[in-house]
Amino acid sequence: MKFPFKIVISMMLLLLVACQPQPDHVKESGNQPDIYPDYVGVTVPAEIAPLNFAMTDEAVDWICVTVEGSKGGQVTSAGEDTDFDIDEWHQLLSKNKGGHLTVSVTARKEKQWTRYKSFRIYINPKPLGEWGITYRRIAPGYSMYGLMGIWQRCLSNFEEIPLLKTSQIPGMCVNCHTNSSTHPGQSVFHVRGAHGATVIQRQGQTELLKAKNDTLGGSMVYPSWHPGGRYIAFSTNKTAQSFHMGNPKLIEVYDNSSDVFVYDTETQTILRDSLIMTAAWSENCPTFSPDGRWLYFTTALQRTYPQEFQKQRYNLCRVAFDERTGKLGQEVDTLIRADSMKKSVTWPRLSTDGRYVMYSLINYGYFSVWHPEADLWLLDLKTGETRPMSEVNSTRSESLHEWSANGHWFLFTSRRDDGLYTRLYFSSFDKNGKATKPFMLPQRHPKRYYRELMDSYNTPDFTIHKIPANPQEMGRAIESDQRIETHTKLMK
Amino acid sequence: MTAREQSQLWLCSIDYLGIRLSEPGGLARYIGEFFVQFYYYILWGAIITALLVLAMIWLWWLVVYRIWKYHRGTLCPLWLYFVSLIPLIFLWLSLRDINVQMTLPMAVCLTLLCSLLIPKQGKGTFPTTIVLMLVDWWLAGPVCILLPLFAPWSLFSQQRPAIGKGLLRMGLLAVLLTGVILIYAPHSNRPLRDIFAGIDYKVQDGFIGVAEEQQYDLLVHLGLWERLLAVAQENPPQKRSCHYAVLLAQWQQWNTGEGELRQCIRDTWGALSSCCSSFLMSDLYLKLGWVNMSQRAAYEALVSFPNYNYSGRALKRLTETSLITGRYELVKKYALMLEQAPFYRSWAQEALHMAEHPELIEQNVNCRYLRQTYNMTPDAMFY
Repeated sequence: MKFPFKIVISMMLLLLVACQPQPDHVKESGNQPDIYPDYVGVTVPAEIAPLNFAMTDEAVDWICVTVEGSKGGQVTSAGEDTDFDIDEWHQLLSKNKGGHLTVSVTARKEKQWTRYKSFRIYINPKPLGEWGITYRRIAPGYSMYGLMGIWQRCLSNFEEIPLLKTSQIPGMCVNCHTNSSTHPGQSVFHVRGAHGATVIQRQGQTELLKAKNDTLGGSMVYPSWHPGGRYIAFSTNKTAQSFHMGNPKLIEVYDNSSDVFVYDTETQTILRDSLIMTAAWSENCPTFSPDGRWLYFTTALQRTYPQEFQKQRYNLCRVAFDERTGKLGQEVDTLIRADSMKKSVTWPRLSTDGRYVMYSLINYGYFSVWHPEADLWLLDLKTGETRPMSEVNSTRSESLHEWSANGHWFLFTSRRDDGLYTRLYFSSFDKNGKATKPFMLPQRHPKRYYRELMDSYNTPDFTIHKIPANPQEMGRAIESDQRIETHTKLMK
Repeated sequence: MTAREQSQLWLCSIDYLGIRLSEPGGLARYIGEFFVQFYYYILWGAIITALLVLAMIWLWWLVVYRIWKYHRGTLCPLWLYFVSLIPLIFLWLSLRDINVQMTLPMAVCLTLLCSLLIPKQGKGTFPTTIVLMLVDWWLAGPVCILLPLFAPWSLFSQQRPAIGKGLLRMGLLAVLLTGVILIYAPHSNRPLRDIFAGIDYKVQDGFIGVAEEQQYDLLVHLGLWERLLAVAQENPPQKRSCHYAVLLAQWQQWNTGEGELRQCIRDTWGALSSCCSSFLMSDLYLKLGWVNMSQRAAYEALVSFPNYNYSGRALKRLTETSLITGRYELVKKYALMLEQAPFYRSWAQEALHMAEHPELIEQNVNCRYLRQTYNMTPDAMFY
């Protein structure tokens, strides 16, 4: 009985293939195809999910694509867009590590076939070394909380799993999910709203801290884990927002004041230090160096908002940190005096080897997502040189970057797609401090997916393995209102 | 009707159907949204509501007639007369509360329909009820628990009416449904209480907007300034957005200076408190030529629906403001979504055409005026 069944299936498949349009009377084009997402000349890790794409031209109704490896192997796909088989794709990429793929596209538009000049995709021999990424997805609302959530996404396929959606905790907001060196066993995120909390996951335990500490006078906002896993540096911000009436920029998110402190997860104590909690200056965006000996942060002379919104400019600073005592050093070093350049530094992140600081540079303020001029810059701590990363920047906002644990890759968000919705991009980074052309987070049908997606990607981070998710349990814990009270200790 | 229609966007796409069917009660929600889209036009809305009432009465009659035939001679006709009024009362109660979604009446209709599939006799009656109840749970939600009551022979036998046995069967069905919900809950992104109470049967109070906000929103949207002022004269507005609407109406009637109005409504604090008030403010700002503020209010409206629906009206406004500010990629994004909604399709196609040919924007009197105003608006901050 099985034999005829197989024949029937095979015949049906043959019929299906026979029904697909086949290129004929093909016109040659001397140009490379305009595809979405732009994967022309990008460098990818061998583990990455299939780079499916479509033609940007809406009038193209069918494409036939062949991808050949420089070291052998081939995959093909045909349709309105490509939909490569995931297993075949991975076989091709693993065979061609260190080599490249040649992509040939033949497209049909108004019954006329055109063969485009082939383009290359380079496969970096350096592994990604991560299972996937975590991020928040949020629609661009300003005061009201809609549906948002913290998600994890596998980078080898298209699996996307919610860790917590606000449908689980209606009327609340979740944000800033941050792993410790991409290890999700140690992570932190915030919940705002009626059942606000700072949720810390550490050593298999989940702790829900009271959202606001009375002594601190605010909540814990932007976090960074110490590599030792005991401490987390936080900023505490009195954030507000104003809206532009006649400006291409829509909104300015700013702080009326902010400070930085270190939180000890073992004693649940906030370690306050007057060096990074000053009255006249606003400290922000803390991040520990990979060796844990330095705490980097930004600081600006606090201005009056909203009148002086264009005058608040942040510099990049650092202070020594002693893991054994939890104490900061005596002096603050200023690494970049951005205010003297009439610029502002935000979101500093150190490369895994500790040599480079990647940061966003904007004209003023710190909330780079809403600044179209925001670009990624790189500071070489060895030479002191700093430069714009023109390899990855666009004319629109680039921000919220993070390094992979092995330091060979980084991700960032950009609004280059449509100017409003932030999308995720990845780039490799070599030992000479050069990045490659970034590629957009792959999707099975990217053109349709991104067009219909009404959310922005926010605070993305790598994760080395899949996170066991139990949104129901997390939702119940958040709604329980059982919170741990934090203590404060004045260090100096 | 307007408030209902603007709080959703029914899309004619397989993906949208798939999204709806991925949750219990999804088909009822999908059908409910399908009918509510007709509220875009008042006349269509009235016709659809009337047809809905007829359909429900007809379904109810089929069910009651089956029960009456089964218990031939034992049921009083007068009792049946009163029973026949139940669907009317139910629908009236459902539709007069803006927070009760059309999903609930549709869920009841689907359950009535399922009950007609339960055979009246034979050994398979109870097992069929179990299967149908589970199918109905996925399609209509927890209202499915009423299914055996619409086919009482699945619980009680006419020959030997044993109340105990009937109650036992009912209890068994309730336990079974509870078990299925508890097994399903960890895989859902909804709190357990929502799954038990029915996803999208009723949304949280206050988010869509109170009656006052709905009324003022409609009056501003239609530009009925005299009527708005008369309403305000009778009952002074309580909500800040409604107060702003009165100021706008006074300005339209030359009773308030523009400067005073503009200074006052720059402060959005407390004015964007619900979907209706966000819509109202978005209209109000656009009438003054404040495109960025109108857009901001539309974004608030878009994310403020407690059932996380998209809104045709909000997307339309975002498309308009993006056209004016020259963000054509966004026009394309929003208009392509609106194009999938039958009542917005032609408008969306026009917007797409304008985005592809920006020179047409200048030829449109309203767009040209708004673009000129936008370009000349000096930058200032609003809150």
